[in-house]
Amino acid sequence: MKWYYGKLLRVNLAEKSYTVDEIPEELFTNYLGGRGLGSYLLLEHVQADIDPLSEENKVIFTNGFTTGTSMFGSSRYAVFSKSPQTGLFGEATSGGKVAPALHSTGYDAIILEGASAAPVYLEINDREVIFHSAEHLWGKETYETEDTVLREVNTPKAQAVVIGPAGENLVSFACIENNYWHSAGRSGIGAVLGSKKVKALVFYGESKTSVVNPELLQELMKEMAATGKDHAGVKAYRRLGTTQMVAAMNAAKAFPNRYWRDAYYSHWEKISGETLLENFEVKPTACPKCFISCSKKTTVKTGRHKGLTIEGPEYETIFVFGGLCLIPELDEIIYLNDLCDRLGMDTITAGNLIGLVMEAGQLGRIPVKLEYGDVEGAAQLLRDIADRRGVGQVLARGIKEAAKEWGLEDLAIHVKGMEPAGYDPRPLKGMGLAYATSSRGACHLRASFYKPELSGMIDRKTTQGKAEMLIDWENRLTIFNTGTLCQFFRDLLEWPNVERLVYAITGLEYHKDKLSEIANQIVTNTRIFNAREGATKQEDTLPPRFFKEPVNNGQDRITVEELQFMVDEYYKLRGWDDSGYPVHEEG
Amino acid sequence: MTLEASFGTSKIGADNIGVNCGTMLYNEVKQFRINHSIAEGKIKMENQVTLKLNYPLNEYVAQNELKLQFSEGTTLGDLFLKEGIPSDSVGFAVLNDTMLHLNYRLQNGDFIRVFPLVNGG
Repeated sequence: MKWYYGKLLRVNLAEKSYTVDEIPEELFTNYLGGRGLGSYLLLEHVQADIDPLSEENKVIFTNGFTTGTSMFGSSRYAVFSKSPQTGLFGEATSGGKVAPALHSTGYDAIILEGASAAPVYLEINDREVIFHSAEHLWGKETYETEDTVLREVNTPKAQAVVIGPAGENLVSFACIENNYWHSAGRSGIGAVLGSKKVKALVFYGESKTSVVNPELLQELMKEMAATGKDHAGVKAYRRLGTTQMVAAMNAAKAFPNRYWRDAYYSHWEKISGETLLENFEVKPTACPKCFISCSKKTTVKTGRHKGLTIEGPEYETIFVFGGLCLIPELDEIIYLNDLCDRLGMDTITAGNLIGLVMEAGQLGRIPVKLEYGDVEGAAQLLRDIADRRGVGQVLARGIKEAAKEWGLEDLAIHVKGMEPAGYDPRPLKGMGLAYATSSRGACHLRASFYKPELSGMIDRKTTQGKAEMLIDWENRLTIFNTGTLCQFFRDLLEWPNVERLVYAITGLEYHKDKLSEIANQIVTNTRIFNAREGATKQEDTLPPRFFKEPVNNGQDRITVEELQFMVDEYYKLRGWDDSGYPVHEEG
Repeated sequence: MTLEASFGTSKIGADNIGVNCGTMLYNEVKQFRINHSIAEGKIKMENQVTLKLNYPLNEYVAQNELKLQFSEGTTLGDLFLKEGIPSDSVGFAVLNDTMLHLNYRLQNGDFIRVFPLVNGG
């Protein structure tokens, strides 16, 4: 038994058939798995210039090299496609309980090809693929869909990924949901599933891979558990989860609010993690094989949403609805979070779009009046987006299209069609570089570079040395993503431990230089995908407002020249040419 | 005279407090010693700093907010060391709009908010 299966399942949705292909060993030694395998297969199997919502696009699920092992943080899956949101490389990952079930089907990767004529859901195990009608599920929200397909498949270890009405209606930022509240959120891959009429996938099986050096893995995990026991970061995650960032980002004056007008929110305490703990019933929960327990199962105790329970809200959802939309009530944010989860849409993009409408309306730039702080107006707009009604029809196409149609290109905040997360790049210039150069759009997880910038590892206001440090972080986290390993273990797995982890599971004696080389090739592959779609250096930039509008009373700004300096350095260190794109090599 | 020296010369040294005394008693004793030192003129009253410690850094001192006296030249890093707050657990510290480094020299009246290693999504 090896550490990988060497098997690729290809499902033909049009013909309701499937084949199993071998995956050559060199793909695993070259790319390890997860993002490495997924980005390679995307490049290989998806032709250039296709419509992301046509039957020619594909959806690729992958395991990482840690999936199916006992490793902490290994219960995550990754999914890839050409993004309908950006028209470029699309990727999303999600925690919860699905990854071990997906892994137990006996495939390293699953590719969905073509499109079904009628709604289906797939039951995939290590013996067969069963195509079930999903006519009775079409139009249903995500929670009900998940419950129904799991009940119908009726297998104890089965887990499901589903889409909601937003995915069915091809909303460009529709996500994939699992375990009710876990989302493969970004890039709009839920819409690609919708275009293929795939409402859900259910995974289970008995297949296993082996760990090459199990004793070494146990030793590493034992050390991590010991370090994690009193680790301040772990403790903060366990108590507050990502909500801890509300206080931190406001203290750092990098908390975007009033649709990116300000970076400090005077009402931040009302939406902080401490306020959540004080006023709500909050229970820490964990994905399987995790001791951090970052997730918070939260129940509203009073008011009009009394009894409403979600896992969350995460910092990013608080930032968009609390910050960008100026809704300073956690129960209302939870309400909007729940609505997005039910409809199956990414909260970061959804909240950014609502904020754009609020700002544009206030400026009289669009004939829509939605006041800042209007919860019910926001909720109605979310439903209208999911159902593609009225203004929602425009927003469903994504921010790039909406800004173009409404003449708001100067106002809309996005990179390559994807909106940034809750880290303002004006006080955090390295985040500006990360947003600008990320292949999937304004991604905060590529390198989570706010961490070194806030901790003073590098001066957040400087541009010197930013590219070099960003690449080091991006490379390390890219290796995390080849393992589909949760990034929240990043403080416990510096490079030496990453080397040990790779060696323990795969037996590959790769040191930092080799792993960085692998990471560089993976990042380069995503760039090749984008270059093939016609993306150029012009797209590696930030929204114009970030250059024109300083925040914090004019103290924090980023200039075109500063970004250009960092981007040029980034290209050089990645080994790319001056245009920022590697020469495209077929295959 | 440094804060360290002041503590060191106290009859009730921090090291003499048994581990079973409990954190509350530890802090009460420490405050007594500070007051005592002020009364003796060992610490100038005007040199006071407030640290607002975010979870879990507050656990090291069992308080969310510490008011501390310090002597001229004391840095933020010195203060963390003195108070038993591991600087590698500190993510960042902020004074008004300014992010501080460990070598920041404390000023009278500073109100410094201290955060652990930050962990976003």
